[in-house]
Amino acid sequence: MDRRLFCQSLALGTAGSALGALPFSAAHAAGGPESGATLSAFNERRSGAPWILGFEGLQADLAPQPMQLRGKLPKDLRGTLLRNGPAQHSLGDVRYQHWFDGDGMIQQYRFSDQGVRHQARFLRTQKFLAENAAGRRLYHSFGTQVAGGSPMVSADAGNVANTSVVHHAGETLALWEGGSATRFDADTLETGALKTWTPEHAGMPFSAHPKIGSDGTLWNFGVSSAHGLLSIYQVSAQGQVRTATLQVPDMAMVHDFAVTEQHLVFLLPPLVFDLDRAHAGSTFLDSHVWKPQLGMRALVLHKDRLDQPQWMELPTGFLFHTGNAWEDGKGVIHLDYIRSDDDSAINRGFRGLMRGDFQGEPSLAVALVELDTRTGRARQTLQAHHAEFPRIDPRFVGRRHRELFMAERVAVSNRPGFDCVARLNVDTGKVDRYRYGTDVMVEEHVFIPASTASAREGEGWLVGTALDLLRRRTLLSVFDARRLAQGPLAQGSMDRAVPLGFHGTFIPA
Amino acid sequence: MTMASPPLTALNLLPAARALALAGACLALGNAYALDLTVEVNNTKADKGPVLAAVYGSADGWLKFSKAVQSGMAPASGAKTVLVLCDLPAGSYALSLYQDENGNGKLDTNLVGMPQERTGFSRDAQGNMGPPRFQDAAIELQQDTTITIQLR
Repeated sequence: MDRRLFCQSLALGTAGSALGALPFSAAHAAGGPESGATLSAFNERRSGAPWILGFEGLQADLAPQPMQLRGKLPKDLRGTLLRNGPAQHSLGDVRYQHWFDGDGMIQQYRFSDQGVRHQARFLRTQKFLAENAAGRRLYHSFGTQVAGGSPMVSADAGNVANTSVVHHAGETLALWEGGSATRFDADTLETGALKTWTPEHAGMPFSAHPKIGSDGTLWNFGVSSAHGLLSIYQVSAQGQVRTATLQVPDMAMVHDFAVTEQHLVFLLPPLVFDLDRAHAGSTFLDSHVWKPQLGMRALVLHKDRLDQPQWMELPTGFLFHTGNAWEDGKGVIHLDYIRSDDDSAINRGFRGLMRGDFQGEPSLAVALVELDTRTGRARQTLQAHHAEFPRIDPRFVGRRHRELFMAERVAVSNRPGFDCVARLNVDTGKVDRYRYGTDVMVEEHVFIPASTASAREGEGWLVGTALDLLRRRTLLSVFDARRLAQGPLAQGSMDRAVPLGFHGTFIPA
Repeated sequence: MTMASPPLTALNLLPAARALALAGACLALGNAYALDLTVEVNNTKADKGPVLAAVYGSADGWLKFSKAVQSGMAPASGAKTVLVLCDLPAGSYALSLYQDENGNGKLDTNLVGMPQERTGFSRDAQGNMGPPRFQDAAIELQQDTTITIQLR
């Protein structure tokens, strides 16, 4: 046989069998299931793009190891910082196509009289154990059709527990918005059982952004996209649970929300779930359609009247995270969030990163919103900050706050992510900022109230990680939260580069 | 999607229930066109409630218990439980079963119909955020046959 024809028919044969494994529409949309192309692309880019160190991922736990410390830890800063993020991006030849897919790993930074000690352990979810025992990916994930994979039988069958951590009512939970929270031990990092809040809510989604008010009540929500249901969870400081569920038309991808003294607020970007796409075999991500004509919908619920939604409309756009919200005496809810113009980050940017492709940052801004519950009207102004990972002084959740802490980018460069940490006064627009530099990838920093603090907002420390690309190590910095521009009071570094992650929490000793 | 949950009392009312499974045995009726389907269920929990199974003959009535061709029950005395469904005419069937661990006679589900007790399907078929389709679980019954199902 002519060699050209033989190779051609081989190629067609392979493509044909790959497509045959999936419903046509799903394979067509995704460009075929993942069997090695992403890993090859990533490996090719490795030497040309130092930033991809942040997205390599890990294959094993990291044993406890002290960090080398410059400066001095404040003597009142004692406890454990726990961060979560996707860490096993590849298994066998298959590298996930989306940053959000990888199996979760807890990074633990323990602050003691001896300094800072680091340890990391993968969450031993059902999926992690099954796939690592098999040596290959068994399931399609949030954003990747895996060659030879099966769809998730249930949300928790695909639970990667990779997004955040919350500590409440004596329990520490790894959070993944697609399914249940997963218990783990804050000291040993051993994985426990899935958390069931009530029998009706067993296995149902529980978001990665719960809010804990000053009375110790935890509020959270969960989106059941296929059923168009929004579930609300209210958990007292002692662990007593109340729930409510409401139907939401054109359910969207909702990652975060806000709580005030009397209300819950959800901002729905117009990235809308399409059940037909899901039934045709699209991944969870690809089952969503960008419909900017719907605008950004604000859903306001009074805590005592969860069955009476009030809807308002904001200019169309996308968001992941809110900062905080509070209500004044005139029925107006004040809220801030980080917005971008469209879904390009979640649908294109965070896929490109996995192949070693950086095509530019999305447009980001801090948005200040007023939702008038008496007139039903919404107003929005923007403050120009290319920033993300907003955090506040946790004592001010649901109350009037003035300060947002954020990871920010000020320099133009050819690598993704942030190069500063900043404190923004949302009333005055004043910024206190520390620049780590263009070769450092800055992550979320969390505010820890000083234990001797008065009630004043922002008295305490700001603590967070950053990846030093030149020295190929992860840094852990402690700042006086009122004086970021002065630089870290103490900074730990270690001969390890841990994968860039998402969110975490600090548990005081 | 909610899986059909057979209440214990209905087991006596099905037309095909005359050959209701005794764990492991069928009455030998001597009918050449009546076939026995033996189901070995793995991962059962001993000394919890029984395994309850239903057989369906078409995608049309799949998982609607009132359309089941036959149903069966067997107590779970060990990690493996055997159920026999007797006198089935030759044809295509799909089986769904669960272990009623709390013995309340129904498949417990959450708010969106997701089973909270372990289930199994013929061919160990699995669905996409729900039960498998009939055609993915269907087997051809042309002679007395034994199948194995994992409870998950």
